[in-house]
Amino acid sequence: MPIEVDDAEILSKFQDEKTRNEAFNLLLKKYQQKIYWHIRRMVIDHDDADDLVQDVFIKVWKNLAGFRNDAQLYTWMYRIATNECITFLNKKKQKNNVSLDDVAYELADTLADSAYFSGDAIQRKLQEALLTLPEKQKLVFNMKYYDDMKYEEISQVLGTSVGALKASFHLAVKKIEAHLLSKD
Amino acid sequence: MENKDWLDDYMSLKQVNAENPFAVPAGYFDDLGDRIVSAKNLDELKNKKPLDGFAVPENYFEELAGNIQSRITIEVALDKDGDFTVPEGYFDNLAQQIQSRILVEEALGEPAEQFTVPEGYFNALNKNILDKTVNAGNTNRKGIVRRMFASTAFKYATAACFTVALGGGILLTEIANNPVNEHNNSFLHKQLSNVPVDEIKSYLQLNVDAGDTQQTVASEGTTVNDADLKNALQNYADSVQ
Repeated sequence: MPIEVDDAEILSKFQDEKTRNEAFNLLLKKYQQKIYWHIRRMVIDHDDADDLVQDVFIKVWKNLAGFRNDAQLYTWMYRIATNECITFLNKKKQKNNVSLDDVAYELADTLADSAYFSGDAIQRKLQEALLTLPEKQKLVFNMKYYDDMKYEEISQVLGTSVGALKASFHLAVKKIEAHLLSKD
Repeated sequence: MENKDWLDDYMSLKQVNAENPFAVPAGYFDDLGDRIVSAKNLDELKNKKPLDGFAVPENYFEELAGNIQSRITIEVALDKDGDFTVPEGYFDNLAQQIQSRILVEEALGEPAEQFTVPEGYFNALNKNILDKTVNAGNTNRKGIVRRMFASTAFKYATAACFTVALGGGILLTEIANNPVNEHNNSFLHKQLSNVPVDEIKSYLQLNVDAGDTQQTVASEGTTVNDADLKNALQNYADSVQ
């Protein structure tokens, strides 16, 4: 269960070498699930998400001392997680020498075969629709629909303007609706 | 639209259950934190620079256990072949013993086994090697010119031919001048050869007197003077006529 602890307290404790490990444990307890689900919705497979979440928090540990408070702590971690996911999916594409569309088909197969998907048919169809979207549109939709993030927060994560994000989101929803209404 | 009111504009999407459809293994998040900390600590160990400045090759500690095990295996195998023994302290004194023996032999003045070479050998060696290798081709390229008519073999052959020809000529001459052959080719021989032998015998038996010596040409070892015989026969033939 995520704990409620102030980001400032975590950062303060982290600056002190004696309390650094304690701060990191607090950070993990507060954000590990959020970061995990953000990753999981991108890569679909649980084991891949498990590997990536560990990589993300190792990077957080290495770079937290240099965090400048110019953004919120969790948007900063979301940005690290997003970049790790995009890197992972690009490597998957290069490894299999396929296009990103083929990676989407592969993820759709993973979704169909996954033992860790408990949604109904419509939810499955929604996920299949998301897999057809470009990466940024999918990210915007996920952060808006599942995480209830504000456009300004999403802008800090993706490094895209609020206006562009709104446009991307609108396009994403249109495509999803069309897919949900289709007879497939 | 900072909350989910925007879904009112998308009815089909609004009908989808907004709950998280993904699941995780039971108790996954309970130990996720500990596993992340362990991964973090392991990553630090891998990247940690030693405080004393010493470093080890990459993957050294990962391979160390295997290398130690291999070395143990090899040394155990080598020990199995240790059936031969040496006296205690043998190798410790060996170098000194060898050194002492060298000094003793040098002091005794025993000539070291020496090989000798003919005088001037090494001076000519270089040239000999070159003649047989680099310069061998030049020598061969000069070629061999043999004059047929001046060669020794031809001379001997010519002499042999002359000898054969001369000998053959002499032999033929001897054969031609043989008195027997001469007689056989004479007129008298040819006439006598037409007279039967029995008639000649009968004549001789009837006309032999006491003064005639019974001597036949067929006697072994008897030499016959051809001229006398000829004269005798001629006289007889004249007398009979």
